[in-house]
Formats: sequence, structure tokens, C-alpha cells
Amino acid sequence: MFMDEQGTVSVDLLFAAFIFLIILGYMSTLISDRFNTVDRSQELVEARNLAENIAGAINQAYAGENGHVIKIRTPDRINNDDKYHVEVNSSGVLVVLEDRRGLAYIIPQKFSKTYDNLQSSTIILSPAKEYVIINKREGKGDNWIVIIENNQKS
Amino acid sequence: MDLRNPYRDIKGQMSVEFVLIAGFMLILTCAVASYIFDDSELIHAMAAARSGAVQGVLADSMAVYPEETFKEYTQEHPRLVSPSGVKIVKIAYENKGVNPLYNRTWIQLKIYATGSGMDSAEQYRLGSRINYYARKSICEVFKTQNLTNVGFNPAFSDKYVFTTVGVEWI
Repeated sequence: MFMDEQGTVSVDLLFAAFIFLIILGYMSTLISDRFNTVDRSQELVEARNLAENIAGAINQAYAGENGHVIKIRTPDRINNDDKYHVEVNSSGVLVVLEDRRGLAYIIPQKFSKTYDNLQSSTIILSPAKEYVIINKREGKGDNWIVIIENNQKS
Repeated sequence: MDLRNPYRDIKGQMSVEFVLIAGFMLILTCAVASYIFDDSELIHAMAAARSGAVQGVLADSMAVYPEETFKEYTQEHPRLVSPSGVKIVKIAYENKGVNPLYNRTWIQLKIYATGSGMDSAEQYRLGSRINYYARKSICEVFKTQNLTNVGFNPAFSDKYVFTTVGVEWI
């Protein structure tokens, strides 16, 4: 008489919902593990990508001969973490994360962080900054790679 | 004379067949429940191992390592500091029966991987990382990190204990 006039929940639905919740609960740790994997993967990929991009830009500047200039910009964050820096010297481009390191090899060359007074040094690149990579010949001698902040005047 | 009771069909009725089938299903479910739970646990553990192995492969491929490992590789295995093309081919397991030490069923995982241009020492290191992440993932999924050591060896689930053998490079 009045049975179908109001919304009803069948036993099948209750049973299916119950089973679904059990399976979901059981799989939640696996799902969370997958999310962690993706998160860590993103960090590794971004770090490797940054190292290779900077190494590529340096090699390109080196191959471009005297006066070749390339601008690069370091990302604000690697996997939502701004506590990273990049070290550049003759052995390569080293991305330093809080607990991890990644190195990209480059063509061996001399690096200086000042344009006028060329001095061999390790250059530290900080997050969210723009840098220029300049190929500069020292008199009639070797070519140097100078990396300075874009707004900085040697 | 109308024998139908006008109020009889208003409420839900349960047939005798339904009661019999429900009872039979209940008994059957109880009988196979333990097998289902055991198998389900193993399937979850294998899924966790696969997920971990993929993470290990990615760590190998991207060559972005923890500081101490990075220093060691820079000095002894400079080849590993560059990205390596490593792929998982398959993950197999062997049931070794009940391990009396841990009182759990012992499952031995064997991961098959492929990658070129590496010597055996380098393969060993890359393989160890894959195995480590596979075991770690199992422990994290089953929240058994406190039962094992820093190398997650062996890895535990509720009813199984997992060990790994060296990665087979093919």
C-alpha cells in the first residue's frame, strides 16, 4: 500500500556498499603507497631534468664559442620543496636536494662566477633566479664559462 | 469465500528457498574465507612489491641518490651516477612453506630486469636497490616497518614473510 511511495534501500545495495567499503579500506594502504611512489618519482624526475637542462645549456654555450650567451631560470621548487641548490664546476652539474644528489656530466671546462676577473670556482645556483651563461675567451687563451645572475653586473 | 488475507502481502516475505540458500552460502563463505583472505593478502603484497620495484627502477634510471650512496658511486662506480636504462621484466615468487623462525609462510621474490652497458658489480648495486624498494613497499603497505631491520629484510605482511634473491638480469 505505502511501501513504494518512499525511497527504499534494497538489501542488495546495502550488501554491495558493505563489500565495497571493505575492499576500499583494505586497498587504501596500497593506494597511499602508490601515491607516495608517484610523489618520490616526481622529485627524482624533476631533479634529473633540472641537472640535464643546465648541463645542456652550458654545453651549448661552450659550443657556441666566444660571446655566446644563454639565459636560464631555476625553478621555484623541486617537488614542492624550495630547499635545493645546484652546484656547477668542471666535474658537472650537481643538483643537491635535502637528502639526495644527482649529477649531470658536461664537457670539462673552466667556470667563473665573475665576468671581468676570471677565477676558477664552483658556482652555486639558487631556486627561482635567472642566470646568464656566457662563453668568454681569456685573451688568446682558453674559453671560460661565466655564470652570473641576470640582474648582476659582474 | 476469499481466503486471501488483505494484510499478508504488505510486509516483505522470506521464502524457505531463500533461507536455505542463504544458510548454504554462509557456510560456504565461512569455509573458504580463510583461503580468500590469504590469497588476497598475497596479491596485495605482490602489488606492493611491484610498486616498490618500479620505484627502485626509477631511482636507478634517474640516478638521483642519497648523499652517502652518491659519494660511494662517484668514487667507485662513476657509471652509475649517470642515468641507466633499467626495466622490470617480471616479478615471480616461490612459496617456500612455513618458516618456523617467523611462524609465517615464506615467500621468496625474484625480480627479472633488463639493462645494458653495466658490469656485474653495477648490476648488483642497481638490483639491490630494486629489491630494497620492493621489500620496503611491502612493509609500508602492511605497516610492519617496526618488525624488520633498516634494510627491510625480511619484509612482513600479516601471514607472510618475504625475502628477495638477487635480481636476474636478462
